[in-house]
This record gives sequence, C-alpha cells and structure tokens, in this order.
Amino acid sequence: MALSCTKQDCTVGATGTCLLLNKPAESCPHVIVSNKQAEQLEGVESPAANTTAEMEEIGRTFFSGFELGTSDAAEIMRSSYGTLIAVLGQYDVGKTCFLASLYLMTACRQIGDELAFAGSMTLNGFEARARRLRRWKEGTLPKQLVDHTVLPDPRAPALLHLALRERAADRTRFDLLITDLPGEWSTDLVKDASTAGRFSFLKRADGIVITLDGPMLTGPERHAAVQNAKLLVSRLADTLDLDRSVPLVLMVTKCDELGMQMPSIVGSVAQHAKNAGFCPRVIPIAAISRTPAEVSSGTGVMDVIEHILGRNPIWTPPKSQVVGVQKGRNFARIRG
Amino acid sequence: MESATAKISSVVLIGGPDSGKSNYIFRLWLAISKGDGYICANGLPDHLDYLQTGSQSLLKAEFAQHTPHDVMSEDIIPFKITANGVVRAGKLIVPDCYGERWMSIFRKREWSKEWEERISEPCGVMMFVRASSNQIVSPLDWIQCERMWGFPVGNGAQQELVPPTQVVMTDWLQFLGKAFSRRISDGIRPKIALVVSAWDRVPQDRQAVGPSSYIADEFPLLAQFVQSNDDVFDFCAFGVTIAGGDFDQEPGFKEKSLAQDDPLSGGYVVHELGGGPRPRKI
Repeated sequence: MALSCTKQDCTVGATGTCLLLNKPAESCPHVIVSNKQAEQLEGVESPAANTTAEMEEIGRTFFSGFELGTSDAAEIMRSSYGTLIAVLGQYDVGKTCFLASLYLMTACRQIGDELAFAGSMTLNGFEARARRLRRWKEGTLPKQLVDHTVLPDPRAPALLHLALRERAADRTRFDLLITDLPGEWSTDLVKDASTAGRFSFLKRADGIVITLDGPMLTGPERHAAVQNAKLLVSRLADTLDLDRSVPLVLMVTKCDELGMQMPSIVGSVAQHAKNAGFCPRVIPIAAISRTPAEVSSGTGVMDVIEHILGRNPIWTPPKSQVVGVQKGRNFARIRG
Repeated sequence: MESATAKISSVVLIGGPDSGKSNYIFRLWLAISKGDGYICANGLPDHLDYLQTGSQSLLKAEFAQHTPHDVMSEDIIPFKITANGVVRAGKLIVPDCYGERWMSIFRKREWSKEWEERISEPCGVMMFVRASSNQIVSPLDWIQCERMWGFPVGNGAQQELVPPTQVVMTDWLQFLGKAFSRRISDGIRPKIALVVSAWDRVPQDRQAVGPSSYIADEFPLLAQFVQSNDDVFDFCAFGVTIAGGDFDQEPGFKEKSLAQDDPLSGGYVVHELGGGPRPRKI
C-alpha cells in the first residue's frame, strides 16, 4: 500500500505522517491510498518512441532539468558565482508558489527593464512547478540536499537555477540557486535542533527568505504562526549561528487576499529578528493572485530577489551589513 | 586560385516536428545547384537520392512530407564561393533527421556519439521553428497559471509535462553551449541562426518588424536568452519562405507557381544583418 496526498507539500508518502495530523494517515480526506508501485515520471516518453535513439551509443548526457543537487550546483559555480537563496517556511505557506511566480514573471518578461533571463539548468523543474506537476514523491525523502540529480529522480530537497543578466551597464550575470525544500524541514528545525545539520548549506547562503502565510497572520492562528516564525529565526541565529549580515527577508505571502495590507503582527517577528542581530526586510507578495483584477500576480516577488542581490534602489544597506562573500564560504565546504 | 586547405563546413539543423528543416535543405540544394548565387555547387554530391527526391517535390509545387523516423540523412554538398577573384571551396555537411529525434534529445537529456562527433567539429547551427505550426506549444501564461493554482491539486496522478516550444528551444541552445564550451572558452562565438520558416504565414504587420521581433513576441524566454548570451553565441534571426506562399493552404498558389518558369521564384529570406529587416530573393 502506498500513500500520496493531494496537498502540495504533504510528504505522507515519504514519512507516513499526515501534515494535518490525521491518525491514521489514511483517514485524511486528501490522502490517496494506492497499490501503484511507481508513478510515471514527468517528461520521460514511452520507449516505443525512441527505438532508433536507444540503439545508439550515448555521446553526451546533460543536466536533468528538474532540480540541481549540490554537486550539480558546484559545477555551475566553477564558472561563475552562484547566489544561494534559501527559502524556508512551514507547509502550505507558498514557497513553491513563489518559485512558480518568479519563473513565470521571468518567462513573461515581467522582471523589469534592467534584467533579462539568461539561462536555467532547471527549466523543466520550473515548468513542472508552475503547472503543479512536480510533487514530493513516495518513499523516503533525503535528509540532506541531494548531491546529484538524474532524469528519473523524483522531487527531492534540492536547488533550482535561474540566471538573470543586466541588460545594460556592465551586464552582470546573476546565477540564482534557490532552494526547494519541503515544509517539514522548517517544522523539524523548530522542533528539534538535531535536524540542524541538514541546513549546513545555509552557511553559504547569500540570502534567507522566511515565508509567512499572510492570511494566517490575520486569523485565529496568527499567534501560533508568529511563535513558529520567531523560533525559526532563533534556530537560524542560535543553533546554526548564521552570519547576521546575510540579507533576511520575511516574505509575507498571499497578500492579494489582504488587499496587500501587511498584517501588523509581522512587526513582532521583524523585531525578534533584529534582536537576534539580523537586518530583516518585510516584503508582502502576491505570487499568484486570486484577485488578479485588483492585485497583479507576481507583486513583490522580484522585490525579494532584488533585495538579496542588493539591487533594490529603495533599500540602502547599512555599512555594517554589506553583503560580501566571506572567505571560506565556498559551496564545496558545506556539502555532505 | 582554389584553396587546398578549405575546412569542411558543417551545419547542424535543429528543430522539432514540422519546423521546416527538410524543405529548407531541399530548397538550399536547388539554389546551390542552380549556380547563380554566392555559394555554388562544386560538382555533384556523391549521394543525391534524398536531396533529389525532396527537391523534385518542391519543383512539383509540393512540400516535402514529414521526415520518416528511419531517415537520418547526412547530405554532403561540395561548394565553392567566388569573391574578389578568389575561389574558396569546401563541403557543406547538412545532417537532417526527423523532428521527434530532437524532441527525444530534449526529453532524454542526451545525444548520441554520432551527434557528439558532429558537434565537436567546427560547425554552425540553424534552429528552426515554423510560423503558425500546430506543433508549437504556447508558453504558460498568468491566466492558465492562476486557474491551475486556484484549485486544489488533482487526484494525485501526476500528468506528463508538455514543455512549451520556447523551453525546448532554449534547452537545445544550452545543450549546445555545453558542447561548445571549449570553443567558447577560446573566445569563439559559434554561429546560431534562428530561422522562422513559412515566413509568408506571419501576418503582414508583424513581417514588417522582422524575425527578431516575431521571436520576441512569440517566445519571450528564448528571446531573452538570445539577448543575454549574445557574447557567447553569434546569433542572427531569419525569416524564410521557400516559395513565398503555401502550396497546400493558399487557394490558387500552387497553380500560379507551376505556371511560372521557376515555381519557387516567390521564395525569399528576411535577414537583419544590416540592422532592420531586409528581404532577399532566393
């Protein structure tokens, strides 16, 4: 018997635990019980279509296109600096939606006049996420970022790659490496310091995004959500002892449902982050708007990226918080 | 004086099904063999069967049909170029294969040793897309995306991803970038022609702004990639119509073409080598 879930970030198939805490997990209305051993992988065509190609000797194999492991990312960084952005947050707060929106804005040429798409080693991965086709698979989820990905691999904690390039000036290229992590990783980190090891890559991060569910911060669950967010910040500061000069964004999602009004309670999370030594920036977003007539999809998404890249003209970093690449913060050191 | 050391010039044609690669090769052979252009045939190719069959179809005002899956043709056309009294000779090697083969390369993320050897030689690339082809998969837009995200995820069965054409074409270019990496690191910008075939099918107002603008409108992701990597590749966009009309769809065009001395005399290329779009008869 295999379990899967229609909830996007639920990993019941991997962990056996229902994110909505239904016991047994099969009793959850979102859970699907199946005897199917393996689902067809996206993008892999039927063998019959390729009989000629299969008979030939392989001359070169390319990146899988869905995700990058740490080894894959290191290969990119051998030729250029990779800007590593960690997107953290609990289940169903909008992390994947943010990735989908960033991709769609780029593909639709809506990232402003100064930047343009310059490449991606994970175009299929972005496409699949934007179409909600890339979900966590059954089986045991890796406890670390995967090292290397190949085509048949299911979705696993890994990185997505998006290269942007300035259209003018010195035409600087930015190779963004953005994490795609299950919500459980953030939940587990709050609950259990012993899981901090899987976040060792954060030592190399150029930006950290804590994703907060905007509507939740205005409802009855707001106090619990804020406490969770504060604990996550504390883990980053105390348990992981992250470099406080790394840009920290408190990304408030689904703000289209709030008329782009910032929930006032976010201020307490920002203050907590300041007290921990960070210089947080609160950015409301509407990644994929439910009310596009009033709030455009993609609102705020590029503000997050521009802030981390230090390109946001509104934001002037204090001298003490200028982001630099510290000696020894190379990617290879934190792998594995 | 004929150069004895002329390099073999290889051109790789890339494109999905119905992108116009084969018809282009047949028209190219007719143009080269006619001998009144810049590039002329320098004797006959050893193997003419494939070229001759296809070009015969065109001369009957019929487009070549879909390339069969068992066809992997490598046409070697000896050519010479005369300029300022100097003759340069070489061999134009133009491989052709069915478009699904290129889709398979995209999906399986690998190509054969045979392709690798071909790509490893100095070569240029022509990447085809046919205007108004029903094989073109449109990019995802906000309306589709907002609809997909407005409902819970489906019943758990994961559907197969059908990638938009611009994603496939961009990945092909990234594959080539990998394969050409040594040449690129040596400061060489491999030439890539972006060919919009069936240019006559592009609406008149959009023809006026040229193939680059057409590509930018239809395939914005690809167009940005081209813009951002113009120091890596030597890109140029072309609009090509081998007959100037559609033998199959345009009423009376086939009959009108056959009534002329050359049924393909209406064909032309739109290039932007001098800046704006300029037509050139072929």
